[in-house]
Parts: sequence; structure tokens; C-alpha cells
Amino acid sequence: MNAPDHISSGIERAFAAERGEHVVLTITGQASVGASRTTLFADLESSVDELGPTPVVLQIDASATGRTSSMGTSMAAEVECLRLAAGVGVPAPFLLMSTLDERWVGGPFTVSSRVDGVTIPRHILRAVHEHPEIGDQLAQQCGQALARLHQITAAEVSPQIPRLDSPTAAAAYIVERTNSNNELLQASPAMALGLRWMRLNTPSPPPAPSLVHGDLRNGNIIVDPSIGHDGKAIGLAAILDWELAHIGDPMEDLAWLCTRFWRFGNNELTTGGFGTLESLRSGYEAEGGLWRDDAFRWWQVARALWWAQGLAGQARSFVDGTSASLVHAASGRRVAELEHDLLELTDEHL
Amino acid sequence: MRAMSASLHDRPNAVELLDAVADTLEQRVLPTAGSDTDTRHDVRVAISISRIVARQLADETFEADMTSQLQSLLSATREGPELTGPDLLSAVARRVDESDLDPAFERAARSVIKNLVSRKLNTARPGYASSPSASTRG
Repeated sequence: MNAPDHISSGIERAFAAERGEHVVLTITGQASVGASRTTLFADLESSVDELGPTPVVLQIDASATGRTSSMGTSMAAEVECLRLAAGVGVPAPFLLMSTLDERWVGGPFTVSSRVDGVTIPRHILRAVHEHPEIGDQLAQQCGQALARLHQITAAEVSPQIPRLDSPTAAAAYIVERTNSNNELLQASPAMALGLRWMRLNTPSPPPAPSLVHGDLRNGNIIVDPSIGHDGKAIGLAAILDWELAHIGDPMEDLAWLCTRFWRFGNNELTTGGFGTLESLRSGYEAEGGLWRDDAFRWWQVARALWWAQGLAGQARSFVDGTSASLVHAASGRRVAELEHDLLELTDEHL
Repeated sequence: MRAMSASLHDRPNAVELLDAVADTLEQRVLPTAGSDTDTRHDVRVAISISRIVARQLADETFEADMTSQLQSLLSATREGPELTGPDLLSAVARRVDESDLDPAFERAARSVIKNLVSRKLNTARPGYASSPSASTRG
């Protein structure tokens, strides 16, 4: 990562060159540093308005090309998704600036508004515990937001958005999961059973593929428990992390949000550990979303397998020396949780 | 103190030592780790790993039990009982993957695989399998 001073001055020069706007940027903290992306907190003061320093979030792509992974979108694609989503009323951070020009800070970057609220899953669950009415409201808002997002069709996005829909989203996903199973450090009979079930139980296809967030879960949302103008809690303030956005089956998003892993032990509340499934579904259908039970279950299995493979992949990176992270080492022993979920989800006798 | 079969090593035994490491991290290191969330998270993960390894060492019948069950599963088919460890897992996974799987074998395989996962969870995350999960399916 570049030194903070270099980043500040680079972004200030970018604002001047690309927008003709004189800004002063002060980095105030670091949210995360990943292999592909660095996220920083900063204050931005602009000559255009007299608002004073405004809290912003900087995301700087580490790679020269902006590609993050085979399924991850480039930062340009992510920016496109954010704009499309905001255009249909999905709560998302407001983009103040984005550029693919690498000369400013060594890689593409975005500057977006910093949304007030809670992001850490356990803090969200604590807020819901203290204000139980927020939980179902939040699940409903997630349903509404997803229904709006899923109105965006493949025809409305540029070719830079990855597609998972040929010949169908499920068929394409089975190919990906099969390849990942073949690459496991150690074979998993439970994952093999999960994959077998997926092959034998392919769901009804969606009426049309749509834009899918790909990683909407407790942990990628900002929740504001404070009371808004209408006397109700604000609740869902923003959906974050659009790196896995793609064209696919809309039920994938709903299933992933309900995966047991992301309930953080609050198991009885299916939606993210904070709300009921009924609330999520009612929000989704109220905004015109089409709920398909068979696809919901299938994608729960499919994404549980995906995450089991993901955790096994993190463990592999520790074993082969690519990563020295203790968290990645520990991920190997979390695979069994997903294997358990896979067996339970695919058990016809339950 | 956990039960562990007799060893020629001096006491404390491996389980007792790992528990001591976890207790020290939990009771002495974590409270003084300050407010750095990354450090605190790493310490928590280290505690968790120590506890997992201690439980793994204490579950002395796991390898033999599960090897026997998985080998029995394959012995009814065409593969011999000589496989162990990752080779055994691979053979079972390959067999499960076959398209013309006999439904009776699939039922038997599912039962053994459930045992395997349940035993792994007893080490990795005790209580996970028995916690309320009726809503897993949604």
C-alpha cells in the first residue's frame, strides 16, 4: 500500500484533474487491507460546497488490471453495479468519485460517502436484540432492496459484468462447483454428496436472469438503528461489497442471505440471524419479486457448497504457504460446519 | 484435566498443555491486548485453535472409528479396505459422485458421512450439530 500522504495527494490531484474540484483529503483510519483491495476512512473537504469535512470511504484496487478474482468483478464493473442499484432505489454508498486511472494512487480507486450505522454482524445482532422490532423490518428491507435490484435485466448491464446464466445459472454453477471440488486439498465426501444433490435437483430457471449482488449477507450491510423522520428505525442504510455482482438467478441472493453460517449462532432467525424468512419474503414479494421455493433451497445448497470450498481454499492457502494468516488456518476447521449444513439441507427425510 | 491414554511423556500431557495455552491466552493475554481489533481477533482465533487441537487429541478413537466405517462402506463395493486418510476420503467421494449410484449405497454412505461430519464437529465446534437448526432449510 502507498503511504497515506501519497494517497491523499494523489486523490486530491485526481479531483482537480478529472473534476476541476479542489479538495483536501485527510485519511483518518484503515477499515481493511486485503490482497486485492485496501479500504480507508477519510475526511474530504471540498471547495465546491461549505459543508466542511465530510466522512468518506476510499477503496483502492491493488491490481493493475482491476481484476480481483475469477468471479470478482473489476472495480469498473462494481461502480457500474453501484450506480445501477442506486438508480432503482437500492440503498448503497453514494459514489463521489471513481477512476480507473492508475497514475494517481497506483490503481483504480473509488471515493464514496460514509454511511452511518453498524456493520459488524455481532453488533447488528446486538442492536436487534435491544430493539427487536428492527429485525423483521431489516429482513423486509433486504427483501425490498433485492426485489428492486433483481428488476435490472442482463440487457441493461455492460459486458464487463460477469454472467452466470449459460445455459442456465444453475447449470453454470454446477460446472464451477465441480471444478472446485476437483481442486480440493483433501476430498470431501459430504461436498460430493452436496454436488450430487445439486445435479439431481436442478431448480426451475428464473423467468429472466437478472443482476445479482452475489454476497448480500450479515456482514455486508450497514444498519442504522437510529429513529428516522417517520418515527421508525432507519434499518437498512446501505448494501456494501459489490465485488461478486453478476448476472444470474435472483434466488441466489435470497438463499445466501439465509445461509446458517451468516446467522452467527442466532439460528432461529433465518434471515441473517436478525429476521424471519417470512419478513424477507414479504418484503421481496411486496416489491414485485418472484419467490421460487425450489430455487431458494437449491441455492442454499449451492452457496453452502461454494463457501465450504471457499473455506477449504483459505486453509489450502495456509498449508501451501501462500498465506500466513491464522484465520485462514482456522478456516479449515470450519469446513465441517458447512458440510453439516449441506447434509441437513439435502436430507430428504427432514 | 482431560482423560488421555497412558503416555511415556512427562505430564502435563498434550491436552493439558494446550488447555493451559488457551487459558493463558484467554485470561491473561486477551484482557491486555488493547483495542486493536485485528490483534484481539488473532488472539481469539489462537484460543479457538488451541481448544480444537486439545479436543482432537482427546478424541482418541476418532481415526480408528471413522476409518473402519468408511472402509466398510467401500468393502461392500469393489474397493478394498486398505485405504486410509485422504485416499480413503477420495475413494468415498469418487464413489458418491458416480451417476449410477445404488440408492441403498447412497443411504449407507449418507449415514457414514453424517457420522464423520458429526465427529469432526465435536472437535471443531461442539454443539453446532445439536443446536436448533430446523430453520436451516428456511
